[in-house]
Amino acid sequence: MDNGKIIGYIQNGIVVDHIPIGKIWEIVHILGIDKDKLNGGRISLGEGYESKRLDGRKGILKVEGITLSDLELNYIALIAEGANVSFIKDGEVKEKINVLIPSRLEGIVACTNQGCISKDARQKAPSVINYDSKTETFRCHYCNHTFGKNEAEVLI
Amino acid sequence: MACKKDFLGRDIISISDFSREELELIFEQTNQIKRNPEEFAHSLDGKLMTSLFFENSTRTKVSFQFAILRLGGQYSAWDVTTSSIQKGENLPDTIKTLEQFLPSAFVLRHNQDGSAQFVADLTNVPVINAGDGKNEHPTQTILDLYTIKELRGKIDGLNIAIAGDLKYGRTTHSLVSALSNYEDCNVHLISPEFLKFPKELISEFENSMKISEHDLSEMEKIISDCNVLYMTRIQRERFPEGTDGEIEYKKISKSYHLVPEMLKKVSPNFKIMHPLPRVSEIDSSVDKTPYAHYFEEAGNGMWTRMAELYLLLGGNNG
Repeated sequence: MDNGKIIGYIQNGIVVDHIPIGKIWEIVHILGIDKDKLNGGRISLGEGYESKRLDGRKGILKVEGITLSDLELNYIALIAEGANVSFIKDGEVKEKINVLIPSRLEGIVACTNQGCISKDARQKAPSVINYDSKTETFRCHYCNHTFGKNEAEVLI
Repeated sequence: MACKKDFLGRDIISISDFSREELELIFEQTNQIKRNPEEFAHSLDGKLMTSLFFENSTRTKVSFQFAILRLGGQYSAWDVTTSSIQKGENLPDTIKTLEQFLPSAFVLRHNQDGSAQFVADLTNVPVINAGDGKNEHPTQTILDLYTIKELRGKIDGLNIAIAGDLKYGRTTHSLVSALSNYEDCNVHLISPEFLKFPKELISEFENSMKISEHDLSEMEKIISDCNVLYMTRIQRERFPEGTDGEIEYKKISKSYHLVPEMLKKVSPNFKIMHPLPRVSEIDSSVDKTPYAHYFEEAGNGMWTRMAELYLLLGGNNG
């Protein structure tokens, strides 16, 4: 009974699996899932399931009646890189994606250098951040400032 | 293999945009212009450079102006103090407006990090970064490297000491980055403890060169084995406000003060460089020694910027 099925059946919607412990609420928040968005649909959140991949425990999120844009997949990747997102239609998995942080993020992550032009709202410089998956570091396209995943400020 | 046409219409934003071959091509172009400037006197006829200096500058601004004039072009200096910037106009609006006047190039100095790349993204006009906040000042680095190469005939294998504010000094970061293009350089970083070269940058470059860190008190000993000492100033604003900060600043300033007596053990071809302006780190009595080379270095700012404008704007000397 430790395979995720216990937290609810989805007919049409999305399943996010292999979420690191504690990150599930961040995903719910960043996807803007609330009473209005659910519109009476079903949502299931489960944490503490056994996970070999995450070396311990994981979380699972199932949401009925929604789909995800590329932007929202990028948001999930920033919070839970390596999670699996399944798109469910008529009770079947239509597509399964292992979400990874893309090499270029536009308008999603803020530069952490306070002196960067992208921090000055008057200049209207859209945030553009490059990601190096080898070193797991972000680098600002404008000022070349580098910062780690733990420092990244996600823009909503 | 780098060739001249690769430079046409290009931006100069970061020193890391240039390969060793491209840097060498700029140096060769500089040599040609410096040896026979009259041959290039009309090579940029009809070209109009627009300079936008949002921060004070003497050497960089004036050397760019001299550079375009000596190549037969002209310049328009946008006066930020009396411009619509003072009325709250942002950088994109300023650039889009100036673009309508069909400039051949923008030379930009701005206080915000990353401003040069931002402007380059907004326009098809070539953008030359003349200093963007504490980020980069690539044309300074090109003139520094050119000066070292001119002095020593090579850059590979040199022993170079870099001293001063290594934490915030953009010229020192760019210089070390550029030296990583060359082989077997031995770089000695000399600074007060709280102004040390950023650790992440040392990690980035230590595979390309030998890097060692030293306290200011070791400077005399270190430079006795070096080919070049590159000094930068230490600014009062890096220290805390108030009396304690003032006392600490004065203490550091006293220990970071190069005098001729400290040059007794240097090699005959040893040279001292500095991006200028200096404050108190080089005593004026050093100017008379054969080791002082900072004014000639500043002069190279004009020659290297002539080469950069010539290459970017498709110069034609007949």
